[in-house]
Amino acid sequence: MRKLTFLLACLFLVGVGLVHAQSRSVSGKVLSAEDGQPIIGASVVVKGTTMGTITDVSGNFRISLQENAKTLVISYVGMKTVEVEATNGMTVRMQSDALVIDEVVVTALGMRRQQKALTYAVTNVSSEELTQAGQRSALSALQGKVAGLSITSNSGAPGSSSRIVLRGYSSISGNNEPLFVVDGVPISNNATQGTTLFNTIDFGNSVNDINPNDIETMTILRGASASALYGSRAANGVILITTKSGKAQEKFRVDYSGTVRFTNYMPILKYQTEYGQGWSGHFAYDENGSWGPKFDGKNRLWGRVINGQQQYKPFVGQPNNITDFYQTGLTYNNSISFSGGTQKTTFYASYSNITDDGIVPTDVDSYSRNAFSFNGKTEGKWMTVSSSVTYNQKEVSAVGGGQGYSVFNNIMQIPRDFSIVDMADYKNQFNDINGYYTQYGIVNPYWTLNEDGNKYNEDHVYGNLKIEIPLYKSIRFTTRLGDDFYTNRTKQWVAIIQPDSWSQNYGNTEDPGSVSVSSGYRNELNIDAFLTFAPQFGDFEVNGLLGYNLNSRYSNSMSTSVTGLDLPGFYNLKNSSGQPIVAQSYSQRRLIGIYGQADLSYKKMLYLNLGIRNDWSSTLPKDANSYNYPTAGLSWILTETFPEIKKVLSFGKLRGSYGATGNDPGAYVLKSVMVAGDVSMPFGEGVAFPFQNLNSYEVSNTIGNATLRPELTKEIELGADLRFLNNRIGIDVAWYKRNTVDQIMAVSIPTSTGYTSAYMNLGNVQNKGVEIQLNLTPVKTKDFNWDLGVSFAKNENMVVELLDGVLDEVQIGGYSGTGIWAKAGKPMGYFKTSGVRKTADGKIIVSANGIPIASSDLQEYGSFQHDYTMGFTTQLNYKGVYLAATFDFRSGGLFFSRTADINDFVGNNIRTAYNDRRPFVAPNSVRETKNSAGETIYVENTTPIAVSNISSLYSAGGLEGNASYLIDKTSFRPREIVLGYQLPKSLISKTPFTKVEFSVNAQNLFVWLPSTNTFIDPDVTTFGNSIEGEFGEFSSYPATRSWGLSLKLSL
Amino acid sequence: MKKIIIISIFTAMLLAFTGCSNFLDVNTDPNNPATAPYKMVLPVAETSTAAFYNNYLMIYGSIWAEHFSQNFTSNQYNAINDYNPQPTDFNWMWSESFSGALNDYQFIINEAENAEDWNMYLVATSLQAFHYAILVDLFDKIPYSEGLKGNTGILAPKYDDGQTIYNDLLTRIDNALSKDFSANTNKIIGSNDFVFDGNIDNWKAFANTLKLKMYLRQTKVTNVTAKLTECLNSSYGFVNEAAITGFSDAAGKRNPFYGVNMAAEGLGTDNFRAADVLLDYLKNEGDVRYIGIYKPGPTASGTYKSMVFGDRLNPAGSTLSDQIARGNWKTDDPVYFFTEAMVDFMIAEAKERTGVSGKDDYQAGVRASFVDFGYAESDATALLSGSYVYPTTTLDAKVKAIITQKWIASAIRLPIEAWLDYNRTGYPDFLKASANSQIGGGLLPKRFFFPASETSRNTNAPGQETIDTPVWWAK
Repeated sequence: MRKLTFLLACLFLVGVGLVHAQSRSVSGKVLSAEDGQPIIGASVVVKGTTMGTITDVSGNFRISLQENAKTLVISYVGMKTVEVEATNGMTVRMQSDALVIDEVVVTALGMRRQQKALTYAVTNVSSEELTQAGQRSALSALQGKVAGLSITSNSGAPGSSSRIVLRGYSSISGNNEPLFVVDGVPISNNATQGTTLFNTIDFGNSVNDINPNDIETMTILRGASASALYGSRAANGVILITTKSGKAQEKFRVDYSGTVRFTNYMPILKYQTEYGQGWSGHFAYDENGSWGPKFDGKNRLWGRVINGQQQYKPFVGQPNNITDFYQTGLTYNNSISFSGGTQKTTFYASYSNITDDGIVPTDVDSYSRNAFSFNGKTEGKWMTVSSSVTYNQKEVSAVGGGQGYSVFNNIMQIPRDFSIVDMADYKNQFNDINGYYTQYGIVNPYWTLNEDGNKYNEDHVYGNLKIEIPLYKSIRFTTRLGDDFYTNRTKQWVAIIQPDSWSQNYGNTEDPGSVSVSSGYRNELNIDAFLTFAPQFGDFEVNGLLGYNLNSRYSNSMSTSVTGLDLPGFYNLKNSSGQPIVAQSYSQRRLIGIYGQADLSYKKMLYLNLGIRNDWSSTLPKDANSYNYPTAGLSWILTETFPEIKKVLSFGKLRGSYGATGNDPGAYVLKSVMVAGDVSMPFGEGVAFPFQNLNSYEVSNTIGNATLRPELTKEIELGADLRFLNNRIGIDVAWYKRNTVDQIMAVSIPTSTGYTSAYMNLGNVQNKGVEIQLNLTPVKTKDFNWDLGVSFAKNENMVVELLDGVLDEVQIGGYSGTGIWAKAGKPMGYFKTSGVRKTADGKIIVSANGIPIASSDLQEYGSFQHDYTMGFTTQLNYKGVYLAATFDFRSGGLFFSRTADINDFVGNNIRTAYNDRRPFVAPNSVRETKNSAGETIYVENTTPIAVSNISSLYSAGGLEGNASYLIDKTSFRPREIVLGYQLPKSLISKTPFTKVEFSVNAQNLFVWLPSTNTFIDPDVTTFGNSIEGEFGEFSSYPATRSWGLSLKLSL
Repeated sequence: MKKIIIISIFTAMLLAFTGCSNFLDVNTDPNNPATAPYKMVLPVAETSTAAFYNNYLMIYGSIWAEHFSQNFTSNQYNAINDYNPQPTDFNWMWSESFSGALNDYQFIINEAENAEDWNMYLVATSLQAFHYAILVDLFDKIPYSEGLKGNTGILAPKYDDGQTIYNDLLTRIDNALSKDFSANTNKIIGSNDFVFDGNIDNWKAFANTLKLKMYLRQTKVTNVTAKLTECLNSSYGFVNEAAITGFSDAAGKRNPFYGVNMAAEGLGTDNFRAADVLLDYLKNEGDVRYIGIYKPGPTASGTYKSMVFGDRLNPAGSTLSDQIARGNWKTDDPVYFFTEAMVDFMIAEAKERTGVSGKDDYQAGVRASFVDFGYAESDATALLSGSYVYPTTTLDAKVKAIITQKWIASAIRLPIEAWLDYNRTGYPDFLKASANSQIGGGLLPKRFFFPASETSRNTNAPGQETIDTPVWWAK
């Protein structure tokens, strides 16, 4: 009861200032002239006084006037202020005022605010921009459009994931993804992936499944001050998605959007085309590499002898064998929606379907998604109820990458003289498991394609119920109950590979077959309740908010796998006598928060924003589970203070803000535990328990920490928004400095401590940067319009400190040989790998064979961080024809490529043909020896690398060792290009259609890469969506390009 | 009024959620137990030691004892073959040792001591000492006095020198042996002990055998005669052998080395080929044990061919690869802590160093090794009176004979011990540098590198020595 009393007390206190003695009462309604919708919260003031009210959810108002008062001043953000004579029952239609920069944007908790009042950077992306190019996902459509927002597709596979980062990586080991909020409800962006070196699978992330046609706007809250009201969930920024709703008093409307898309392999990898099968310069019929002789066109026997027969073919190159392997992928994307509304009730309902079959032959790489969405709202007399629900159902079939028998690993090792498509008949005696030409750890790629599988399906539902009650004057009560849940099921299987004993592959290429299934469930309940009020005191206006938040997240997952199948081709957990390996995990966490915010404005010229949130989290120590996040900001509209400059500067604003957000630890990390016994080893399954019918437990390798504090992100932001010449030129600049301190990490500690890691608070990672958004309208006439946008973002990432003496350096991704690391004084994610040994003056130290010697320690190289990124958007409109394009340029940074590595190893990369594979002396090389005094000295190396050793040279990375596989990440590409035509109204006025539009669109049409990258698209990763994903790729699904035809109809 | 009612209902609902004081009290891990009985920890601890000794050390031992060489057409152990391992290569075995085995033994030791369960105390102390001692043999210095204490905040443990650790381990073993094994606080271990099914007499013998091994290791740097005599005369005796058996051909149930290196589920490619050093030696001696140690290559028509040790870059390699013999490891091979032959040879050497004839034990060792590799004891008879005849001359000649035979017997069982013996005694005296050695000078490796995981995280880790720097007992 205490809370209720408090609530009521607030209510009366706030109301007091507005009560006056009055004599005449007038009521009326305020509507938007454009769409007839009621304007909620419009200010109605008696001219010449400070008396006023605001309109309610139906646009209605009632106001009392003194006898002599006649005129009302009605104003609302984004609308032209109206002065009208007060008459009872009046209806006021307000015109929108595009020239005044009174754009309304959605901010934290769904609050609508004037763009100009904001003290921080917020970017809105409209439905139009998201759907123009017919992209399957809104995230892909955002690429290159928002400064400081980095979205990268993990590969060209259907349904593959996107990595999303705002203003750089902050968290060394934790989550770096922004929080996604749909209609006020946080939703999960679950990504089910395999990221081990032997099993890389990407089943996509949930936000990519949202139907972009259902989205009204996406709002990107980049900084901590923008997202502080989300408290401990918002450390990495927030992306708000507002879904479409019906419009009041709009006639029933149907919208259809359809796209058919063709996808092709993007041939980035440059192969040598001169040498064929063999090793060490000699032909060998069973080698999985192109280290053989030069093509001579002569017929040669190759591969296995089967039943006394062997295949022969001319020894010539097959330059397009990889490209030929891939097919044209085909996507159908259809979406239909119905919407409308009466005066009090609106609705929106939609269905959308995507089927996507990728470029790998057969339908093993496919994605299908059905999305249902409903949004409705009704106004009662004293409350408004609205609700939206979305159900996304998807099925993904994915092709695995990585080492072992993966399709990509198999095809990359095929000699350059083989025709891969001719192996498609994988049951043929020369192509099957017994007869395949090599025993070196690979099989026919078509075998893996057809026999193995990785399937996933997910049901994802989220929605909310929102109730708004105007209490007294401007005081309103709002509550929003939201829930987000999904269930998913994964099944992966590997066929038995068992060559017969007569086969030369016997004993080498074997797999007992396996099946693994898993399922997961996650539910997030989120409740917000808040009071808003907007009193006005003379020149001062206040927008206040007091709220309460409850969040509860629960998940569980189970998985079972069996290895050693009995019946071939039957993939069921029953099909093994082996002991199933089972795993089960639960996670539950809860959070309670209270928050308050006050936006004060003075004469619509100065805006002050103050806010605070306090959270109590279940995952923190009980006696220290409360922590708070303050925020403050100030903005000044120059052009209000100096209206005379408006001739040049149509709008000018300076802003500055400070905010804090946080991150509480994961569940169950405060205490050390015992864990089920397991003895794992690299390259093997290890020894699993129960062993000899005994279960066993061991001391967990991770030390819990009962004194953990929440991670804290503090950010200062300064910015300017300047628009010139009637908004024809607009520039928005933001500078920010963000420090994330007290990071919660399971820190790798020396294992001689008896543990491998310990939970700690440590570190300070700083992201400091500038974002510039330039918008130009060089031409604007009745028929022709040209808009141009350039975004530029430069983020300097720096690890300010880790933990002196305890953690000087930490590996954050990669594997033991090559990894990305963090240490104080360097940007997060610099690479370390074993390069080659060099003398102090930089000469390469070679062995007796003249081959560079690998360095015994890991050496430091550059980081994965881009130097800067730029986006270019342009849109030309001429009488309904439009051409729009988005280009994306990312400069600098490194990534690791196993595609480069394996193609060096097998002699397929173009660079392995260097110097015609003749012996050469490693440039600038020396040999290490000892002089008579026993001191180490270096003498010039004169030993050429022998022909037979050239393959050894490249298998060890060439002249730079493993550092050769750290590739420049720079890229420039058109993300999307659209050429469309919207039929003029005059043409369709006699048809039932109100809009007919079609377009040709292309995505990733080409990519420009620096000359040192002849391997793979640097966007591609196989290591997941978090910071580890920036490490690079381990034999990934390749990048693709696509083009499509879209049709949009409205009825 | 209606509004007030509605809002009251909402408020009440929220209070219902949060009103109960333990709404936030949901942070107890449902996925893992807070603790477990120490007896249940023994199986995984023993298995960790087995994985360390049998897998990682079989790989290094097989190549550095020159029983095997890296195959021409695969690459997994090029660095070992070339004497060019990287510090990162030692990460796994190090963490399996410290956070896999040693810390679990420490948990058991602490709990057993509290419970005054001296049976378990002896088992865990002996196994932990066994494991520690080998680490010292390989790395020279390791964290010991400050090791395994991460939970008390020591995150950069200092390194202790090998001699100090050895001395303390021997003290710990003696202390564990001195406990009251008739106390009624002692518990039966039973089948949770994979090595001896909880037979405490066997564990006492194990402890004594371990002491013998540790004193023998120090022959070059300390006068251990009295200690060897003490072990030889101990009433605990020696183990016949000590091993974990029960491995089978199923996922997660294989012999650890086999599962990683030979099974298709593991590396999938056989990296080991017979080196001339051992195979040719046996064939020259007419010693049939090569048939037990090796198996012929698929294109060798049943003959046993060897490759020059280390010669992985031979241009004819891809043809040779299928001809050269490979290792006769099996999926159900036991993991040995001590083989019978090895114990015999240790006793033989210890006796000779204390002035007693080791001849009988030497011969018993050779016979045991013949049996181990699938032959009868009698198959050794001719050789024992022929070229393997026990020398009658100097101690050095006898040690040479014993250690050379120990080297043969250790193949595909405990080859790391042969390499360690070589570093101590210089026998067999015909080991040679790898044909593809990257360290030159005819040098052989004599130690492991500190793992990168340690040097990069532990500020107290010593600097790396070169790979041919002897460890403390080999100086």
